[in-house]
Amino acid sequence: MFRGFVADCKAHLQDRPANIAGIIFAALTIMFFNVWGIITCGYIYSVEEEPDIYQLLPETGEERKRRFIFNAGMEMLLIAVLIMVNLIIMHGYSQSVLLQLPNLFLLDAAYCIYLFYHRICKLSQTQNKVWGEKQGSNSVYEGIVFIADKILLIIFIFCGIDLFNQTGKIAAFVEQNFYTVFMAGLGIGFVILLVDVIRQVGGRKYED
Amino acid sequence: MNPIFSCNHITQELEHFKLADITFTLDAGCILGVIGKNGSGKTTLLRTLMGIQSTQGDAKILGYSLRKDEKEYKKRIAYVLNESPFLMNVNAVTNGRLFGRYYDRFDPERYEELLQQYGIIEHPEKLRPVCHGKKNIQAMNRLSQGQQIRQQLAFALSYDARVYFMDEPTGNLDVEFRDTFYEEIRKLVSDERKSVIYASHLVEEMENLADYILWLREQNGVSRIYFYGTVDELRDRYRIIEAEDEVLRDIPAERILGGRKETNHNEWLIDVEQYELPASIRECVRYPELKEIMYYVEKGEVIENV
Repeated sequence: MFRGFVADCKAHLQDRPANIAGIIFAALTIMFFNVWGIITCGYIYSVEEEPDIYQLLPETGEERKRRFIFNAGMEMLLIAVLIMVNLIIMHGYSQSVLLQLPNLFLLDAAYCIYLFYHRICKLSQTQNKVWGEKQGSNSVYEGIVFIADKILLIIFIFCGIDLFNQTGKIAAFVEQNFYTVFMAGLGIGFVILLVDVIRQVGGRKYED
Repeated sequence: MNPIFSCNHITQELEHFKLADITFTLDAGCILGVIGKNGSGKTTLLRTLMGIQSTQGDAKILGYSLRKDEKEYKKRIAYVLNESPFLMNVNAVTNGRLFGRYYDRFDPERYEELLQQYGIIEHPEKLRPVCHGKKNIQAMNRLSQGQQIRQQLAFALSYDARVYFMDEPTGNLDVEFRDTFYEEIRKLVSDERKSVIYASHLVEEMENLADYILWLREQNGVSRIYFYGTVDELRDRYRIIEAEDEVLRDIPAERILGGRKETNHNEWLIDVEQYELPASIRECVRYPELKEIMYYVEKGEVIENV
């Protein structure tokens, strides 16, 4: 299987050298997000800014530690499952196996952000303490998270459609228009970010 | 006498501050007012007794020790704090769902009912999973300080705690809800099963609310109990003399704790514990209010505004 995978890769790269840049870019992106995620989470844990409520709950110190480890373990398991699902999807496309790699990277990147916000932040209540009291930094941060949510959703939908699209039409389309699709996604992301930041800084609340 | 809570030699050492040897007991059905000026250690004491900060010494609720039976101890406490301990980026209902399950008799329906009663949820029938962009109940960090206090009160009243810790909760409450708040506290202790430990620098509210007073005074970076007893005992220990300077000649200087001299009015706070005032000045003597006692004792001198 591995040899087949490598052969596919070689064939793919020979046919489409332009995609190498995209793959490197995606690899760097994912490295950045992963490293950023790990460093930030590590920093959060190290500053011990756990909200008071966790100290007030009827738990012993040992139980608190166990809960923490369990949560972290579940997160890692979830990441592993997501990656596995993506690999399975990838495996269905021997013709466009490399095309799925940026997708996988993006999924991982989005999940890092998702993980950071929805799990770690909610548990650590860091946004005021770690990110400073300024509403501005908070708003930008929330804006980024807002986009991460949407990216993750889009990727899940994309993967879902892809999974059932065994003919590979979507994959073929994305393959042929890789940069268009990528740039369009990036553009939409920035527009959402901009709108969200304006909303936040402008003082509008999430009530609409 | 039915002691529900005991605090034994609690000592808390921080970087520039020490809370030294705090010992007291509290009966069920009583409200203990913890008073003291800013920085006297009221919040530190409460945080220590709630188990947020580690400590030397111990506290017990119905025999359950903070050090040895931390879980059982914490099951029996509730809290309404000046700074909300709850998660700020989720809403009040989610907070209830997340943390209510830690308490044996937490009643989520009552919690939501109280949230509605206190104006935190306006349309509970429309409650649904919350996501960014669509909420009919705001995240905690969108609530005002007063609303956060209301949420905490709702949470505290939704399970069967025995000792309620309240740290300057009324500072940000509007006048109307402040009365509701006091009423809820009185209701809490009316069945003689529960007690409230209430820290505040608003001495006036303590005078009306508290059965016992624990007065913390800080000197040279060390805070200790200055007084512990009933409100009446505290008031009984002091007198205010409203008279001319000459009247003071008969009173030992160490008994005069503080006072005020103005053009048309003089008054002095006298410590009358184990000391009987001369009969000649009894006509110009009255009982002080709690805030007068605290003000003059903390000031420790005669203020001249002549």
